[in-house]
Amino acid sequence: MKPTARWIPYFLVAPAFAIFTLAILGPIIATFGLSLTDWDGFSTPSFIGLENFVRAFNDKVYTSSYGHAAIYIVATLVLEVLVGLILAGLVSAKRNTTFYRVAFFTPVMLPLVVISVLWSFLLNPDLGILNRILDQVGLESWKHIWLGDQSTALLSISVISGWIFAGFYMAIFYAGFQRIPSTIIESARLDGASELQLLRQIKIPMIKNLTEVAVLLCVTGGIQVFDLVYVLTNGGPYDTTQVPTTYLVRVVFRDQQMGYGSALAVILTLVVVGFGLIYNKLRTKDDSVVEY
Amino acid sequence: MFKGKRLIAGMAVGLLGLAVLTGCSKGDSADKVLRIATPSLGDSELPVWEAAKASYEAAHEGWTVEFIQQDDDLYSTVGLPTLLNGKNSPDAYFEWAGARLDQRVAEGFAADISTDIESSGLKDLFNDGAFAGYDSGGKLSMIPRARDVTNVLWYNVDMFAKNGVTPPKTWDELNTVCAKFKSLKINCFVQGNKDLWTVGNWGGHIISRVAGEALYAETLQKKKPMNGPEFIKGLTVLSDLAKNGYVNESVNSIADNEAASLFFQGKAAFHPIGSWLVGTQQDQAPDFKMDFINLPAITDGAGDQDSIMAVFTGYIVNAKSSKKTEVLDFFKELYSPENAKKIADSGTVLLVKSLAGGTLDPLTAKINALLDGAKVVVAPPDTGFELPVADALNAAQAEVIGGKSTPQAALDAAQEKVAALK
Repeated sequence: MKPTARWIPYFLVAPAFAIFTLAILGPIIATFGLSLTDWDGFSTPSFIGLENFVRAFNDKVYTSSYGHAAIYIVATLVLEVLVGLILAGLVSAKRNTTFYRVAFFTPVMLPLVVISVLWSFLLNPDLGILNRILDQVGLESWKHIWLGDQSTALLSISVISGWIFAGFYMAIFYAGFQRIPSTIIESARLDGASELQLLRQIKIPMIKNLTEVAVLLCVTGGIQVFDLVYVLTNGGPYDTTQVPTTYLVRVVFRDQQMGYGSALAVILTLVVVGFGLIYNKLRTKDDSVVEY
Repeated sequence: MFKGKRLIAGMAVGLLGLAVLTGCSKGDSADKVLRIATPSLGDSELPVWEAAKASYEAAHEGWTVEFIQQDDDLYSTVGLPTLLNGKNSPDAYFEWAGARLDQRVAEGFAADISTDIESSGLKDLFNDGAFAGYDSGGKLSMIPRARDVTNVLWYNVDMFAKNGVTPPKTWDELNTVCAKFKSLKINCFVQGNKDLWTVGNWGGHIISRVAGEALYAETLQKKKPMNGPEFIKGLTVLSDLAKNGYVNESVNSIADNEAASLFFQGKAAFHPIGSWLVGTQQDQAPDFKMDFINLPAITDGAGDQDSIMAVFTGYIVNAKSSKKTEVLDFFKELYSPENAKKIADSGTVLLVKSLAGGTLDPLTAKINALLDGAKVVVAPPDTGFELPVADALNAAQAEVIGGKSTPQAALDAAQEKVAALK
């Protein structure tokens, strides 16, 4: 059916476009515009060209924050995705595993800030349970300032992240495993395949797409990690857990450098989008694999 | 169909006209709302403000007063800029005197109230000398509220008595006291520097005592390099405390409130923090006995060895507001003797005459005496100076107290950060 007048489609699309412009396009353009200025949030912004971007690339804290994010991503790929896959393999291999599935998934349902506060109590160097337990069982030398030592702070955050999100990836992989026809599983069992062989040679290859999505989620989520780091260490000690988002918040909200912060936000956006595009390009579709 | 199009077009034009008219009708002349922005007032102070609002509204027919309250951290960072740049910007707003006040004046958000405060009669409510520190460029730009000491050494009275220790007066005596507590396996200091400002204030005060207030201020104003010998010497004093094992190892991993809790639990002899600890102690550990000393005198320090580190707070009348008279009238109501007494009971001592000679909590009275007797007041890095510069110094102090860097290396890195700023 053709519209009776040429302007009608534009008229109908206009409300949605207006909302999109106000809520998404406008802020993106404004952020890019502000990134070219020196602005503290109060005064009139003054145009300084690409100076903020040059400063960002020379800012050791900012550039190293990507390194910290990379370490966090690698750690969480193991602690979240791989552990989630193993947990899914375990709970799908047995019957009556509802309790375990609920238990592993429960941390995902709690607000990240609540979990962060909870763990900061557990890891508190003076009053925390972990150090007290180590003390009680005679492992006093293992006691540590977990979140205050530059050698353990980022690792501690990664472990906590793994504790939370392994259950999330377990749920994704478990759902994938459930979609595999039982005839395939049963016939493999009849052929004498062990549960480990089933997992490695049948289940995992058949959910390849889900695994790729999980990796993409984990990596993009890792670049954007904020809550955990902000509450647990606030980027410290000595900026060794500073990730791009926490540094961005510090620059904008604490130091009130809106122009510079906007430049950091633009760079971060380009990195995330760039990664997503490259990842999609690298993904190859193998037609010989049957996926569910 | 054609009629339908005309109807739609007519409705669109009508709605547009209505929107324009609605927008235009909100002129200043019709605006009889007094908007006052402030960090959260708290349950104890808010009723006093509400009472002042009710009195003001009763006395000024047609006027209403609105309080725009925000979380403290939000207000001091992005909250206030957003409010001031918004369409209905506040007519008056809370601010810290010093660099922040100067910035508001420079940006055109602070009105000169030098003459108005006198003609309104508000000035008569204040103590003599209450306006010192509230001016910018020789013009009074702030209605004073209160003064907070941001760094004194609070100590555990019972712990001192039990171990026969008397509060130190000099830095050497402080080291002796700390050595004694260390030998008793008691932490001398507990501090929570997760957010960097606590050691920033403490160390900033030490540096100002060693380097001198003028050099301290000039350095934080970027007129002198941060890695000069006097700053290194000052930071070494802080570094030595940590090296000698007098500061809790967890200093950089716990927050200020956690450190306060540890202090109240008797886990340390001293806790270096501001005068607001009185309120925290009353809420959290009412039976805990504490007292304070100012930072002890540092031998050979170039600064005034009785200096205090303090912040002055108050309210700025927005230069963009046409309600200067109304704002001053409201504060006359809020600062009345009756309200000032109630605000004092909630923990904030306004700089008004009516409270002079009144009965205050002994610790609050002692803090006030310290403020009144101070000849030199040093501004904390984070409220007295540009935030990125303060941040560079605070980060350096965190590295030194945590044992990660030497004072020289930490201040070299800080200077590099400052040099990168515009």
